[in-house]
Amino acid sequence: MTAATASLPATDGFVAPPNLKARKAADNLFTFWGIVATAIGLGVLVALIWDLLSRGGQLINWSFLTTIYKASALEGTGIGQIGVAQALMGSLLLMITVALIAIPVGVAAGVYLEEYAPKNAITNTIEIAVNNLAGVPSIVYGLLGLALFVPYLRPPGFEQVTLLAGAMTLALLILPIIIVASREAARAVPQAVRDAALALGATKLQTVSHHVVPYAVPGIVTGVIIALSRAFGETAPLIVLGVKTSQEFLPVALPGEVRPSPVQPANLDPTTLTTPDAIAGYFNYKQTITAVGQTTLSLPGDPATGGQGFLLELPAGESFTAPAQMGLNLSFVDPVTMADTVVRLDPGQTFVSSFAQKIYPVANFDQTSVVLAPGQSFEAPVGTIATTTFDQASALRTWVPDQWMLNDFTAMPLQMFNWTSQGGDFLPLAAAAGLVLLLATLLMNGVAIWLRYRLRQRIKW
Amino acid sequence: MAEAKPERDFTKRVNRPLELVVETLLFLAAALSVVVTFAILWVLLSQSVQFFSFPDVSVMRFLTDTRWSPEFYTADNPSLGNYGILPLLAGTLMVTLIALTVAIPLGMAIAIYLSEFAGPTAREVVKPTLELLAAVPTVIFGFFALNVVTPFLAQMLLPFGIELPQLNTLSGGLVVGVLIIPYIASLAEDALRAVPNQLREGSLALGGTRLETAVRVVVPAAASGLAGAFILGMSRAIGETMVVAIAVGAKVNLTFDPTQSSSTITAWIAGQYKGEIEFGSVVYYSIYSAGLALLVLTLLFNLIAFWISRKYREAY
Repeated sequence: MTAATASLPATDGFVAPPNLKARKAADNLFTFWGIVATAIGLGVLVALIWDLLSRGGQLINWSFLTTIYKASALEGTGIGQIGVAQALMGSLLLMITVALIAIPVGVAAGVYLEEYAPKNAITNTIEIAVNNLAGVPSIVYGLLGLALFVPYLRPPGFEQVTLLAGAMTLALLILPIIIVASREAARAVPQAVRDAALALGATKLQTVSHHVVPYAVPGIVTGVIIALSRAFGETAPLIVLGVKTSQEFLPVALPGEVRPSPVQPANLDPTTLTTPDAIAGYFNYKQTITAVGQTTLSLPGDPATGGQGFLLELPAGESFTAPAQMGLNLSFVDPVTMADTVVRLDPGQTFVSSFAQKIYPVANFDQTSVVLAPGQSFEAPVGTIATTTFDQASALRTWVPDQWMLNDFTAMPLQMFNWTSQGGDFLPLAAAAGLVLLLATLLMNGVAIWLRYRLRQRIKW
Repeated sequence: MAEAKPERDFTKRVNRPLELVVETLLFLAAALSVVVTFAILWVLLSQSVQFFSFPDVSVMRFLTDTRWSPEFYTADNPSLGNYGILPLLAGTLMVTLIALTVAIPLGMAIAIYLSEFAGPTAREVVKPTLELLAAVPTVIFGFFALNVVTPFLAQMLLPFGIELPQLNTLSGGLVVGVLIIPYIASLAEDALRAVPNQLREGSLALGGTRLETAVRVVVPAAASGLAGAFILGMSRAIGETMVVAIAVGAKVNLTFDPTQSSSTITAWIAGQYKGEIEFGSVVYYSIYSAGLALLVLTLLFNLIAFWISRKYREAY
């Protein structure tokens, strides 16, 4: 052996192939190109952040997050009330609502597909549907929501796009992400865990709920965070739904806040509503006014006699209750006799609609105003009472909390889109809103990636 | 001694009704996906049928007319409107082509680099960062396209005598390309990594360099996965909305010049947001027909991707 090896001249063993240098150079060149390509990809992220920071960075502070933006802020005096409070609050409420809808359904579907689903045509169909939905462009979900959710998920007679309609649309959008993530998390739990539980006499449900799901929770949480960050940044479907890209109030009213109606009733002239010393507002939802000082609420008269009325659609079987402090007249055309009808309601009395009716609730002629002592409150019925003027300084309006899902809203990406399309002076605002948006989504994804990394390290099966 | 209590019958399943109820609930949650799929199809189809039933609007015209202006429709004079999807389709395909021209070379380079060249540390850092890039809300990319990329391109093109309008297909397409790099890179890398190591080792043992191994052995072996990655990236580019809505705009124009204004299906739909479209109007129904065209296009590409990965998958 040694002799044979020794007899071979060292130079004969290796003949350098032709153009080896060139091939090696090509290899190195590609390494360089790979690094450059990666750098371009990551460089864009850096450039994006740098551009947003240089344009809008100086606007970012606590008050930017907590100030309600008014369009008048940029006129004349320059920077005044600049902020994203309404958009941020809208986005957070939207995300919470989406989570409440999508997480239970998505996790249940994922667990079913992994743990329960028999191998048959139905399961196959479901799997194809899930994969398909993941590939449907987000704007198509907007079209779906526009037809199925927007017209139905709002108080009758009103035209706003409600937070609930937006949340339902986005929930469907992120459902496939949550299903796939839950499925993969459940699949990662070793079969031995299931076998052991079943061997000890646990039922299927006990095996799944006591063993598989708890082990899968970190994986599920990772998927849920990524899905919710997607919902937070999603813009296109909300635009198609017709969600406002800007509004000057919060989705949930603050105590003492006076806000315009989400919809201007067609028969009212908006110019007559605002006078210097009194604020007019509609009571579109069931809401309570609590007087701070001595307050007079004046309610409109009959539209036939020059007063302002408010049209309310009352489906058959729905009821309408007059406020406790004052009676109201309901004017409508009787659907059977086609005669103009006025029904007089005493304070607190209820009217039940026998047919679908359009009614005008107006004040009685003997009582067109209510005087509230300090601390006393007045509850306006759902969807009624038009221009009610009251002293702004002494009235306290509160939103009934169970109605916030039915309010109109705006969200961070929509506000950014609004400012971006206005351009010019609004670009710094758009950039600042973009920074907030970017920070929130990157933070959520960072947490998810970190969680998954930790998870991978801890796996000891 | 008293008779021993009979042993518990362990063969009997406990709490059967609850088991059944939970399983049914879980099944319903899963079946919702099928319901949503059919709801999407039903909504798009039924509203499109409404659209096609307007006078002067027809499926034939939708597919062949080279102009698209449903907003000009009036009940008195329906022939003022034009109802051909081709200009929007052309814009969409143009954006997609530009995007793929950017994303395939870069995405493939990243994928090959990560899978064949980079060490584990580089991979551990780059992959999550790419995921972060994919998580950036697209409205931010739209802002970037309009306010950074377009002015930059306008300056670059000025010496060539091209005046780039503020809204143009080129910058939108380029930024959509950047947007889909993470998708293509990540899917392509998965495909490359799925190629068994013996193939690489064989090639390297025969004296191939890393690049030769990657290009001549690994890439051909992963071809079906790579094609799937490209097509999925493409279907994402087709469906991308915010970048094109902001940077390309909704001005319909049948052209194949990327330095001109035009519009895409998604940008046009999003451009109708201002609340001016009336429920039940021609424009209202037209956005559903445009949405249907979009869905058919993306589903087609998704199906092709699925079919390619089935048909040409190399089994090891």
